[in-house]
Amino acid sequence: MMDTVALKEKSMQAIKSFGLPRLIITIFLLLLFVIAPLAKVNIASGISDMLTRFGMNAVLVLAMVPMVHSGCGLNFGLPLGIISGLLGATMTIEFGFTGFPSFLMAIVFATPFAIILGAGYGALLNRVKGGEMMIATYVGFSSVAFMCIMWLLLPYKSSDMVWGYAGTGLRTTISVEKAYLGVLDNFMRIEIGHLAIPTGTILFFALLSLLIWLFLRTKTGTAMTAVGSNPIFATASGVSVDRMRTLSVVLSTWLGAVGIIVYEQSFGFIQLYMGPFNMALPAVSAVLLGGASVNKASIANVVIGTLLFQGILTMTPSVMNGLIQMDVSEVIRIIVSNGMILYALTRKQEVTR
Amino acid sequence: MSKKLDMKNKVSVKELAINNLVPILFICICAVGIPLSGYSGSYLLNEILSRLGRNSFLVLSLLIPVMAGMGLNFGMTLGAMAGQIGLIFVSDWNVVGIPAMVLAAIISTPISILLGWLCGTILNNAKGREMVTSYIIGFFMNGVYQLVVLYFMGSIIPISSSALVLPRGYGIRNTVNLETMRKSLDNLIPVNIFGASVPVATFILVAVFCLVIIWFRKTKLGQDMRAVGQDMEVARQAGIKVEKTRVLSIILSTVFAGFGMIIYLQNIGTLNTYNSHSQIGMFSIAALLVGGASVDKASIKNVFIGIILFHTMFTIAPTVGRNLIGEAQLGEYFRVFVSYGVITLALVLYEIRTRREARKALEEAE
Amino acid sequence: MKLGRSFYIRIAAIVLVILLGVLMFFIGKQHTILLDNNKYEDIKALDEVTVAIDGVEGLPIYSRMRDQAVVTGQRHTIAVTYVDSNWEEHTFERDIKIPVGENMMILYLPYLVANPDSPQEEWLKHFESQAIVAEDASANEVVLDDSASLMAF
Repeated sequence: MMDTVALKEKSMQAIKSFGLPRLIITIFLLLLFVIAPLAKVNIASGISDMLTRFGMNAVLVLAMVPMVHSGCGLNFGLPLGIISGLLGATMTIEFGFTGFPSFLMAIVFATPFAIILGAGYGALLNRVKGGEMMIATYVGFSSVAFMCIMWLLLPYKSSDMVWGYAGTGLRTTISVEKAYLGVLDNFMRIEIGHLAIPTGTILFFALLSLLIWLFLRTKTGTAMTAVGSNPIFATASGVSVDRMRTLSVVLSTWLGAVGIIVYEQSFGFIQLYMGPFNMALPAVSAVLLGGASVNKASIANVVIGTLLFQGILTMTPSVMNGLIQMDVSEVIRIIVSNGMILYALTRKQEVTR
Repeated sequence: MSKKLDMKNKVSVKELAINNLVPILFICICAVGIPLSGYSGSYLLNEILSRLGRNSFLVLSLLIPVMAGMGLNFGMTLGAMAGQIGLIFVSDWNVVGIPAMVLAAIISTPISILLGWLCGTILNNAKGREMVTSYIIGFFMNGVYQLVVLYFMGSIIPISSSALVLPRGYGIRNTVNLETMRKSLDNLIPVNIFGASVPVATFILVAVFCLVIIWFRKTKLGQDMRAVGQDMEVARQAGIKVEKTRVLSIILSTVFAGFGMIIYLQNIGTLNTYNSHSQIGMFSIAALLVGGASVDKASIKNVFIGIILFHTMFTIAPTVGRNLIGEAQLGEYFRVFVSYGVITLALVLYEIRTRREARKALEEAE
Repeated sequence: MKLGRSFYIRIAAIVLVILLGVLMFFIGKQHTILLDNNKYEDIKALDEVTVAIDGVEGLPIYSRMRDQAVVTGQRHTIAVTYVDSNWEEHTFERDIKIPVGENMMILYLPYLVANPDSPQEEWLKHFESQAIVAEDASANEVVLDDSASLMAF
C-alpha cells in the first residue's frame, strides 16, 4: 500500500520534472507512429524524413544554447546569425566554389560577419538586460528587413543568383545544386530499403555539439555559465559579465550562421529576403520542447527537442492526410511551437530570475 | 543653486531630444521624402486622412494597457481576429452597410472578451515580460484562429454562402469581399476639402473614443490602472485587486481593437482572411511609437502625431524608392525596415532609460 | 448569493445589446428579389411592366423576361406600372415584408397584376439561388504566409 503511494508520488514527480506539455507531445508523437500503418504511411520513410529534418535544423537549435547559458534568454534574434550565414552562402557561390570546399568556404565567409554582427548585437543586449527577448526579436526582424534592401543593392554578379532580366539584385531563392547540395547528407549515407540516414549531417552536428560541450567545460565556458546563473557572484569572482555575455551572443550568432548553411545543403535552396523572417520561433520552441527553459539549456535538450519537433512536423501531415484527408499540420505546428514558448515564458519559478 | 538649476535644464533639453528621437527622425524622413516622391498635396492629404480614419481606433486601443503598466499590447491581434470573425458572419448573413458593422462589432465583443481574459490571465503569469509573451500569444492564437476559420467554419460552425466557403466544403476563402460595407462609415457624412474626401463619421467615432479614454482615466478603474502601472506592490497594499485590474485593461484593449479592425476593414473593403490581422499589431505599435510614445507612457497626442508621420512615410516610400534607385520594391522593404527599426529603437531607448533611472534611484538611496 | 442591483443592470445591458444586434440583422439584411414576368399558373406574361421599389424605378421588363433588385431591410413599397391589352397604363402600389431568413425571393408579376389584393405569399416566394461563383483556381488556395501582408498594409 505504501509502495503504491510512493510510486504514485514518484511518478508525479517524474511527470513534473519532465514537463506536462513535453509528455503530451511525446505521447502524441508515439501515437502517430503507432497509427501510421493504419494511414498507410511507411514508418521507415517517416523516420528517414524525421532524421533528415533533424539534421537540417539541429544546428539552428544548437544556436540557442550559448545565449541561454550566459543568461541572455532565448535567442529570438536568430535571424541575425542566419543573415551572416546567407552572406557566406551567397559569397561562396559568387566566387564559384563547388563541392565540399564551397561548404567550408561558406562557413569561412560567414564567420567574420557573424563575429561583427554578434559583437554589436551582444553589446546592444548588454545595455538592455532584462528586456533581451523582445529586443532580440525586433533586432532579428529589423535586420531581415534591412538585408532585403541589401540583397537588392549588393553588387553580386553570378548569373546563378541575380535576376536574369535586370542583371542586378539577388533572386528570392537560389539553388545550391552547383555548390554544396548534399555534401553532408550524402557523406557515408546509409540506405536500407525506405530507411535513409544522412550520416554526414548528423556527424557534423555531433562534432559541433562536442565542441560546444567541451567549450562549456573550459574555464571560459564555466565563467559563462556562472554569469548566467548568478551574475552577482560572477562579478565578485572577477568575471566580466558583459564580456561573457557578448562572447555567448557571438557564439550563438555564429552557430546560427553555420546552422543555415547546413540547412541549405540539405534543403537545396538559399532563401533570401523574407526567408529568415520566421525561422527563430521554430528553433526556440524546439529547444524548449527538449526540456530547456528560459535560463537553462543543454545539448541533450537540443537533440531531444529537435527530434520531437521535427518528428511531429513530418509525421502529422502524412498520417493526418492518410486518415482524414485533411491537412492540419500547419495549424498544429503553429499551436505546438508557440504553445511551447508560452509555457516556458509563464512558468512560475522562472519569473524571478 | 542657480548652477544646479542650469544643469537640470541642460539635462532636460538633452533628455527631451533623446525622448523624442523617434518623432524627430521621422519628421526628417518625411521632410526629405515628400519632395522626392513628387506626390501632389491633395493626393497626400487624401491618403493621410483616409489612413488617419482607418487606423486611429486601432492605435487608440493600445493606450489602456500602457496605462496599466503592461507595455505595448502585441496581443491586440486577438481583437483583430475577433473583429474578423464578426465580419465573416455578417457577410455570410448578407447584412450590409452600417448595420453590418454594428452587428459585426456586437458579435466580436464576446469573442474579444474571452480572448482578452485569456491573454490577461496568461500575462499575469509572466509579469515583467508581458510584451514578448503577448507577442507570442498573438502567434499562438493565430494558430487557433486558423483552426477555427480554416477547418471549423463550414463544417462545425454553419457558414452557408458559397462565396465564402472553399469548394472543398469547409474553411473560409483567402479573401472575403466586403464591398457591400466598403466605406459605409467613411462616406456616411460626405465632406470634401481641397479635393480630398474626409471620413467625417469615422473621425466623430474616433473623437468619441478619445473622450471615453479621457473620461476613463478619471474613473475609479482608470485610477486603479494607473496605480497598478506605477507600482504593483504599492497598489496591492492600497487594496487594489492588481491581477483583476490588469486583466480588465487587456480585455478593454482587445474589445476596442476588434472594433478598430472592423473600422479598418470597412475602409479597405476586402478581408484577407489569413493575413489581415497578422501584422496589424506591429504597424499600430510602430505608429504609436513614432508619435513619441514609449513602453510606459502614451497619450492621445502620440497616437495622432504617430499615425500622420508613420503613414506619410508609408505612402511615399515606394515612390521615393522608385525615383531614387528605380526600384519600388526597395521603398517597400525600406518601410518595413523602418517599422521594425522604430520599434527596436524605442524599446532599446526605454530599457536604457529605465535602467538609468533605477541606477539613479539606487545611488540616491545610498 | 444575493444578486445586487448592478447584476440586473448588467443583465439588462447585455439583453439590450443582443436586441440591438437582432435589430441590426433585420434592418441591414440584404435580399435579392427576382422580378419575374413569365407565364405563371396559367396567367399570361405582361407585355411590359416597370417596377419601382421604394421609389427607385427599374428598367421595363418585357414579356418572358426577368430582372433582379437588391433591397436592404424587410419592409418595402413596390409600385407596379403595366400596360394592359388596351394599351392603357395602370399603376398600383403594394407594401411587402420579406421574411427575415430569405436571401433570394421571386416575385411573379403576372399573378400580382391579375390579383393585386391577394396575400403576399401567393406571388412572393422563396427562391433557391443557383448562383455560380466564378471558380478561379487561385481563389481556392489558402495562403498562410503572414510575411506576405507586410507588403500590403
